[in-house]
Amino acid sequence: MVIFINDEKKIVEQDIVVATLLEELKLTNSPGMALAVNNQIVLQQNRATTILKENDKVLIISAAKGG
Amino acid sequence: MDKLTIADKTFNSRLFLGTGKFSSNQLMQDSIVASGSELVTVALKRVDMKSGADDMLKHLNIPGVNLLPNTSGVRNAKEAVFAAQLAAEALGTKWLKLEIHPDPKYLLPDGEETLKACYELAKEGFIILPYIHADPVLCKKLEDAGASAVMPLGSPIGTNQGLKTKEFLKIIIEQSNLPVIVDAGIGVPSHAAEAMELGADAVLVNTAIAVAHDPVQMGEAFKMSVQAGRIGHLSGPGAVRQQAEASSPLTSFLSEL
Repeated sequence: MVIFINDEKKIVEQDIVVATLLEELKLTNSPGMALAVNNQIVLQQNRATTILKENDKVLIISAAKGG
Repeated sequence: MDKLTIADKTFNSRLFLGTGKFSSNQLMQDSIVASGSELVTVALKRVDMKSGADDMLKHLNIPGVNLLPNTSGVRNAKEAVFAAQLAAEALGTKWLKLEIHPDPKYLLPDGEETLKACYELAKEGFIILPYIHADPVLCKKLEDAGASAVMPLGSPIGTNQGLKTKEFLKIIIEQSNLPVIVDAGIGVPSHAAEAMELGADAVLVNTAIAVAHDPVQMGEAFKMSVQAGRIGHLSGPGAVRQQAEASSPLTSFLSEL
């Protein structure tokens, strides 16, 4: 199925959970990261149980240098 | 020097640092250490799927240094609230530099949206340090809205122009029941000292240190200037006078030659 990660189209397995997606993206252990699906934040403890659906918009952010 | 308390935290240093514009993460880390700062800002950005996440956080894992996430990049209160929630999830802190500046040319803060966001975020338990114009009326409104400090600007972000808003900063400092942190535009250590002499509780500096030829040394210079300014303020400066007043005895000790 198709999802969008930071506005980029990506093909993933049906019913993939957020934690598995992060594993595939090699972002599981990234510090200072947060994730939202369709503008709803998915807390770290809910990543393993949050199932993604077709056309979901996933936002992944991390800490960056700034003033 | 006396300590500064904001919300539930006590700081030995009254110099806060931004982490932008350093040419390397190592230089950023070394400059923070040299400055003695205990509160440093971090921004949020989308993870670049090709390059992965930045390792900058490793360089901010300095004993005694706390993180202050900012909401830079948001355009209104609604986006700011969402960014704050993302920041809290990403960094595990409810401390927040609330900044909403939709205008890319001067990066001037939107006071109306900032006030709206402050009310919302206070309900959610955030420790809010809003970046705002040197607007004494807005500062009082933010106090009512649940801010933990106010951060009026000296001049536009990154301009190094110093305290162009000096007269309004004085009014803010006189009226505020919250710590006043002068943010933005501080370009050289003497600007920081000037803010502290006026009675500001702290200053936030980024560009002046990050783009200096020697950022580590500049960090140290700011540390000294903030201390000097604070101690100068506490020591009670003498009044400014129009006419001269002799510092030495005028006793005409020489007879006319």
